[in-house]
Amino acid sequence: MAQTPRKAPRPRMTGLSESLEISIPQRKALRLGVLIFGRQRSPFAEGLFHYLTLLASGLKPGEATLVMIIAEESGPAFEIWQQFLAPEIRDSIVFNFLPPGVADSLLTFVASASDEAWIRSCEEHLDCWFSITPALPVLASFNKPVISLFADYLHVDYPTFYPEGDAKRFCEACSLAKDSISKFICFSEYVKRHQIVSVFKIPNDRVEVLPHAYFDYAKLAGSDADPKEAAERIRAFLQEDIGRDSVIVRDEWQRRMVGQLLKKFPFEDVPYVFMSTRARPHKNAITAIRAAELLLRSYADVKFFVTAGIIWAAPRDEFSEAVLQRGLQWDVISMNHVPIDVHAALYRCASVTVHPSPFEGGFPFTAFESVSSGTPVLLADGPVVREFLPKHAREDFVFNPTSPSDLAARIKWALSCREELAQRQHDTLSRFFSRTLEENTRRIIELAREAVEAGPAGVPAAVVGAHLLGINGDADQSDFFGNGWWDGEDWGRWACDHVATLRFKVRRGSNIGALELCLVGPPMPGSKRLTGAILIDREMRASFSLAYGETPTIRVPLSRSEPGSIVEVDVVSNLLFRPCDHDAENTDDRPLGVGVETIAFIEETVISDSSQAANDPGNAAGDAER
Amino acid sequence: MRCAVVMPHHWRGGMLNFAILLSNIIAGMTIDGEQAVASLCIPEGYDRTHMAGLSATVNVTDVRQIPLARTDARALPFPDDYGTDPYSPTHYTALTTVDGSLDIAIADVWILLTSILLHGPLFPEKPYLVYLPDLIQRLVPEIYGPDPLGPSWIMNAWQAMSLQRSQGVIVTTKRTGLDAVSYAGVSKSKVHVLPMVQAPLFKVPDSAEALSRQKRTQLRQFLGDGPAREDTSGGRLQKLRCENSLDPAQTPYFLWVTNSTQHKNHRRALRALELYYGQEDGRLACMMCGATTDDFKAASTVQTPYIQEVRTRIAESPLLRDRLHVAGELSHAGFRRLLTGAAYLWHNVLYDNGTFSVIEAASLGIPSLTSDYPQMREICEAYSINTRTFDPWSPEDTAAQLKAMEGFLLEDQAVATMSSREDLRESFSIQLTELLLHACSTLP
Repeated sequence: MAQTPRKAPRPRMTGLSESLEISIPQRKALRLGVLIFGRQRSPFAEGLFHYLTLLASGLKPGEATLVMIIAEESGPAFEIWQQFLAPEIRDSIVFNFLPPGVADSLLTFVASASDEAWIRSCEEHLDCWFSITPALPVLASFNKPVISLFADYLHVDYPTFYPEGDAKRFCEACSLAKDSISKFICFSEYVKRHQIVSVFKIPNDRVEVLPHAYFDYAKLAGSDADPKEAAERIRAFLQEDIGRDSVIVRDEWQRRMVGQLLKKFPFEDVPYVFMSTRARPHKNAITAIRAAELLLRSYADVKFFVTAGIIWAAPRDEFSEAVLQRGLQWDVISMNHVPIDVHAALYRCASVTVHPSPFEGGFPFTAFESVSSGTPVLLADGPVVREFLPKHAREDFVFNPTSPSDLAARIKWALSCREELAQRQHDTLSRFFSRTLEENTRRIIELAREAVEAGPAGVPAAVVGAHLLGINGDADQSDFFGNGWWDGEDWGRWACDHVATLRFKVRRGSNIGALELCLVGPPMPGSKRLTGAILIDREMRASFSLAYGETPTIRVPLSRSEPGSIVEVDVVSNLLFRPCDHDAENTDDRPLGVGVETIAFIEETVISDSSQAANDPGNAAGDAER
Repeated sequence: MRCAVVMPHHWRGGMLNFAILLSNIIAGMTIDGEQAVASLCIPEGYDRTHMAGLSATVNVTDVRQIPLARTDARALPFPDDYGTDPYSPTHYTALTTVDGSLDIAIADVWILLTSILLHGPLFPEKPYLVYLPDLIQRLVPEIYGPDPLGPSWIMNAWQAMSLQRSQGVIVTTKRTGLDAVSYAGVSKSKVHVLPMVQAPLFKVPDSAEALSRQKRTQLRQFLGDGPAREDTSGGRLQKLRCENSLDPAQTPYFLWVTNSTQHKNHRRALRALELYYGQEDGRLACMMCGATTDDFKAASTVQTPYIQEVRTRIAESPLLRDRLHVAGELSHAGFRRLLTGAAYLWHNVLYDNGTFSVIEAASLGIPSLTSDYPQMREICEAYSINTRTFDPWSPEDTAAQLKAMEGFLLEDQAVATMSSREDLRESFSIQLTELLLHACSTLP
């Protein structure tokens, strides 16, 4: 379709990123603020620490500093966590504490004016934020760019598995924060397509799929390759007397009943299935318990060690109930809260690992951990496993997650050919997962650097004020233009409806007092006058009347809206013109409303100066139009 | 060497037989050039009339289990393994004789016939070996009750500690050895699989095979399609079929050897029998016998819920009432008599260390139908017994195999065969001697 030019084309406006002079100090290492919600009591067998270990292990000294922004109460857990990292990596990690109570409420925390100080104070030491989840409303209050992991939104696949309100909370928090996130990082195309893009309408190019790397777990964890030494490591850990106040939380009845036995347990001699999973509803751990029962009833000599907690005394959770009701508590034993080196040792001594959940945001870490330890793994067949492994390669790995008997049969099979299977699986993973931890961490740092260079996401012009947004520029305007607009012309945009909406966010600290819109009148000579109004958040703030060729700049004061909130500007006009109705040669049959050429955000100080100038008898021209 | 064989509980049947056999074997050993001395330590109040076959050189004495606080035990020069862990046991179980006899105190080594003890793990006053008959609770946790924190389970924990702490664990099947490692956490190097030894319960008559052949003929007549030939009891058999009543003296039957504990799988077995007599139109009667099976007789007053349930079910099932007969606990002679008359022996358990009843049956040419589980396979393999098997978890399969036995019994190969394993006893003695020497050479 032909473009309808304005009468007198104007010079092309510069792109936003070019117009903003964000100052990025040239530092040796990028300072990445890793925001952690909640209070961590123990660093052991928590997915969070596991991911952080992999992230940190891929760090090249001098490349970046991880500034861990955590609750003060989490300090001891992080200190323990750090001890398991290589010394040169430890030097690249520093800590900054959140104000008391904030970490606990971050999932629902909406910053108010009084939070300005700590947020700015954090940001003084950062170049970019790195959030482990996008579902933190506070991200909308940050001035520094934000990149965020988006591991999964599993409620899409399991809508009835979690308490009512869980999905709503995630969805609302993510919706509040999403415009502030420059880049979403997920671990599979599945999550990108079915959860991020489709549910949250995030443009494809703002989502990076970063598949997990295949890593050598024993080496990473500083554990042992020899099963006997690995077993000694497990026993030594279990023999440490842990007091009742220890960070290690293990069921006291289990300790009473099998605690002594485990201290001398011959892990290296016993054929056992290792299952490193939590017992959350969608993890399908109960299928494995049913398989354990079938195996024992078929007289297989096999035991299960699981990292999920098992509660021996009532009241019990569903998983514990599944174990205890079957009387399996002596053959299905919880080894929760184990340090990473012991965790790796448990893999080393295991005969086979089972990953019962058919859904993970990425290819399960357990596969890498197990196979690199020389222990084959059985994975529940599911979308992400299918994404990464073609059919012929999957055959060695998968079982039907709804069939305990299939799992039991696969376990027996894996036990019968453990060594060969582990070797074949190692070859397969090496082939399909060629990335390294270093490459993955480097990519995250690259994304952070790109975010820093591009400036904060959303409508960055609103950040510091007095900047002109050339709407024909290169900057991503997808968040800015709401309903009612045609695609961009080379000079600006036409409305396609009587009401056309702009949407942006006033960032904390931006000090924006008004908006200036350069409007464009009817497109063709001889058109009727176009009249209309500008509404801000449904309240009329200005009116206009435009003839062909007129391009007034209308200043519209903004009310003091809550920082971080979304402002909606409706440009309402009474008429729509079709160029082909006015000019027989024009093939453009689009109905066109008012045009907008530029938008400027005006700082309050500038307004105040203007007001003073307007009050100056020598300058009577101060009005809404420039 | 003085060796105390300790049977801490009031057991009869197979465990008592083994205790007697073991004591006799030790009493016959020469260790380091000296005659070994064996004592059989039985629980206080045990009925000694059951102890036929025990060598006169074995002294029998009563023992008692007493609690010994670990705080007190620490004052004694014995290593305490359990540290200061707040969840470790507070007491040991110490062993003492009742009448002041010295069999326990001056023994060089103890052999416990179980480490299931009453007050805590065993106080390791002496080096000790544990004979581990089985760990049935691994497959049949119901035997310890539904409460995972209940007293039986607590004793299970103490049992594992005592096994781990022992100088060696003796098992007679490889699979029970694996259970000792996997379930009780005993180091593999401490587990010793000794040959299965068995003391014959009775003398096998020379005419056993002839009897067996004769019985097969009778079964052919009873089970065959055609009319009974030259058979004086034929008319009676026909009549019994009509009346559905059981006269064990006249009706062909199979012998169900069991006891009253849950791992003997009575619920599924009774269901299987109902299917056999109902859907499968089973023709043979069932005779139940074994230690404590008197509890299942209608006249029994034992009120344990499980026993009551089984008893009621037998009494009230129209399919079982007249076809299942409870013979109860028998003398060796009585058992032999009933076994000799049986069409076959039925061994139905979910799990244990296997039964030697199949050996006794095979010695008489009587075939066996047994649960298919690893220990039973090991016994049948060791003695080359041609048993038939079924899946004890499936009443349907059990019923089908019971029915299939009717056809099998008519075949020539139905006569059970076995190898005599006199060599095993000697091999057992040699290995046990080594173990005793090893145990005595280590500190308690």
